[in-house]
Amino acid sequence: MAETALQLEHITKTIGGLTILDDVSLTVMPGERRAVIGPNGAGKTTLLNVIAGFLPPSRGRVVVFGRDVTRLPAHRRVDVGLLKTNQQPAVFRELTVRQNILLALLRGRHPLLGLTALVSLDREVQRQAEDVLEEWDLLAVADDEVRHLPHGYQRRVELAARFAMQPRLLLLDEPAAGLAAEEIPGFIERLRRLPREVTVVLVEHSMRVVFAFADRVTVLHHGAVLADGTPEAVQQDERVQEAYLSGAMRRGHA
Amino acid sequence: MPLNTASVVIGLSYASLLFLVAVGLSVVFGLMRFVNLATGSLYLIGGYLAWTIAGELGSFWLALLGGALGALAVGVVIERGFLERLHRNELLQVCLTLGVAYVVQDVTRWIWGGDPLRLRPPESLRGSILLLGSIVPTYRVALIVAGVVLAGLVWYLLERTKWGAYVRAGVDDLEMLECLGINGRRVFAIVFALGALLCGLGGALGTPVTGVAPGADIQILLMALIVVVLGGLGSVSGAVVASVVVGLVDSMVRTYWPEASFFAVWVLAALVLAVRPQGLLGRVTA
Amino acid sequence: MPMEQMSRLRQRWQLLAYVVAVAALLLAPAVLSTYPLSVLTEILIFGLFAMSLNLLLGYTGLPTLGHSAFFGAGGYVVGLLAKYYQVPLGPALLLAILAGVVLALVTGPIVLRTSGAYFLMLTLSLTQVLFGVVWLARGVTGGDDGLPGIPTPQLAFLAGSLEPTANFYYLALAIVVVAIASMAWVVRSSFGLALLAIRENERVVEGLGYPTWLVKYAVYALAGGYGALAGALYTFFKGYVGPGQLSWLVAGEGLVMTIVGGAGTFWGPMVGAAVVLLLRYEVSTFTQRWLLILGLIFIATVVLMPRGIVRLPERLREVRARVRREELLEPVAGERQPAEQVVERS
Repeated sequence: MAETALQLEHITKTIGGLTILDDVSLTVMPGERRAVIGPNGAGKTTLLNVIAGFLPPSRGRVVVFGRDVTRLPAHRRVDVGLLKTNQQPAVFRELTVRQNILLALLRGRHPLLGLTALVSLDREVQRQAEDVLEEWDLLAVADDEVRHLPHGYQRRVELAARFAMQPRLLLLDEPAAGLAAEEIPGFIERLRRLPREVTVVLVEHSMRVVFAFADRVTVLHHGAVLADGTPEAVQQDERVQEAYLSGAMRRGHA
Repeated sequence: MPLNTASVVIGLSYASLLFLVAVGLSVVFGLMRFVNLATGSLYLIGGYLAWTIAGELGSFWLALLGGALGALAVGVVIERGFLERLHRNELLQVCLTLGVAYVVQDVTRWIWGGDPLRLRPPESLRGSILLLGSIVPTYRVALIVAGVVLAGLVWYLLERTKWGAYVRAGVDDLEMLECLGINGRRVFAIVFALGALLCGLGGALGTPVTGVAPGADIQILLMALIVVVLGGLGSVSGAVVASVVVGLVDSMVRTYWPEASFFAVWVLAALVLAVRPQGLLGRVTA
Repeated sequence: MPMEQMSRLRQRWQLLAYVVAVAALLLAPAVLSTYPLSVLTEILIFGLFAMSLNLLLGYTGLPTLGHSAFFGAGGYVVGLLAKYYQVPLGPALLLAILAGVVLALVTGPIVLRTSGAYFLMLTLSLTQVLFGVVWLARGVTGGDDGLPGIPTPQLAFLAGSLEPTANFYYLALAIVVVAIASMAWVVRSSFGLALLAIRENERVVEGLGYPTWLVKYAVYALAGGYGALAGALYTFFKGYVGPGQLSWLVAGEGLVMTIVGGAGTFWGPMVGAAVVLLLRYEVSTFTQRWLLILGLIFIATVVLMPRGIVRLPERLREVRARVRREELLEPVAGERQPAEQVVERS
């Protein structure tokens, strides 16, 4: 069997006596697109945060590309190729688009925490940033502060910065949230174009995005894995339908 | 270290004043994550007003009332006039109160001069009484009683009334409070005003023992900050415990090692914080 | 390419401004008499102090009310060295910087467990502890009396031709310029970019793989070093160091200068220091009410111009840029503004 991209073993997370994640185990193969869905409060975002290292699990192991990262702080997990996006785009609103991209490209590039190099004199990294901006069609707004840009642009800046770092495992937390309905098809197209070297774990409410993009779907309910399989199989699953129909799902399928 | 009744009484009476100043600071911080650096100024205003009113009208009790209401009025002006505009910008709010502290410091010196002023306690509370075999000033004992009563009142208000429940909910999670349809800013405004009232009352009550002079604002602010930091930001019971600890430590050190009096409580604060950054009774937030 | 032209034009103006400023500063002793020159020296020193504070407050978003700890530490180090050991200027300044850095490295792990108002209060607490230590160690520090009679160093090669005030002015100017140049390097480096990002959202920076705690620790140490250097110069300038130099009032003043000038801008704190000190000397010639006026200025700045003096032109540019952007983004009308911020926990 090939090495797995992500392996969660019996992840449990309790906060103040409340069990948010209950013995979650799952395996994602390299190149796979995995969607994690579930009613509100099912623990999806918590799960992504545990994988990314922002929350320590109460029990269980997180293994990324064969390496146990359970005890690794979030910033060190980037070394194994793990990156995450947030519901509110994880961008720096007060910095320009170019600075956002540079920040991603400059990570770990210069010794002494980057004190040894002036950003403007690093021609190589400036050129790389230019390429990234061009590739993501952001050149026209390169020197605008991100806070002035519409939401869709901010999302694009977030993804561009993540891809500039060449991730191997990308965690997307509701990337379609905040997009207008007519933007969704274009967004799905963009997701589909992601290279297959990148493994993607996606939390998403929009079923359109999930079914258009995911190879496999994991359903979380009350912090536990309720079902796991191909999108079609999960859709047929009676327990899943029950969980969704029980009214726990406050937001409609976008 | 032999416990001396007199210094315990002095320590506890000081703790009463500290509590009055610190509790508003603490709850306001808990709600809005901002430190009111004008806290000491409100205390100073309370003290000076009380001194003037007592001199003009000859009534200690009216002086207390006037000091408290004067501080309340200034507090309301600060909140309505300025803090409101800077909603959610904690750094600027802190800076604003620093500016207010400068202004008050200078204006009070202008009006009342630079010499320490002392208010005489009312007739009934002058002199000393015998307590546990030691002679202690009556007014100090009265201060302790007042502190206990007021702490009880604050506790009742926050723990036993619906309005207090809003405040506590706001300290835990302001967003949640607003989701319940309660105006967090109004809750904040009321807490801020009550805090100012208590500060002014503390200043008026404290004037007979510590006197009031330029610099008293900074001194009480720094001590109150220690209390708040030690007790845990936003915690009323923490403020009570920390006031007592700081008051007693301060009084003991003054008795047995006067040179270190200024220094001891800060070391205490730094030590506690190194071990428990959230304070003695505070919860882990922020 | 109007954009590039504009920035090139701006660069040229900037260069011109620097040349004029440096020339003016170099010629100042020729035109100014002793008193204004000493005010100018004080502005340079406090400007450096406020700029070091700005590294924390403006660039990293760490509000400190205890930065006087470094200012005082630097002062006491050079004071003690000059008074008791006759250590020459260079090594004394280096040791002062080192003391600031070490003090920051020791206290950093305590204060950096927190942020926001907690950070403010913790830095204040630690400064008060230091204040108490200085007070207690009377035998060494002179307690309340401080250390008077510290000789003001002079530039040897100018010693014959200049009177002492002007001589020390040039010395301070040279040191401050070098310090500011190195600070400019810091904020324009890759490290400096990370600071700005941390100010806005530390967690996202961590998610990009930056060791944010270490970055904050490093900037705290740097700010401590610069702050101590400013304090050392101030002690030399006054020929005296006392516990007042450690007082949180000095830290508060640095905060005022930084905010009035513009926190998070490079030159803002220097401008703020100039405004505050010039006003102080101007105002104190006709009234005692300096503190009142300072307080009112500060309140007015916070309420009316919270981003500081230096940012006024920038704000105008911003308005112009917005107009340009709106024209640019017209074709993508389909984009939706993030009007409703979906706050949701799942």
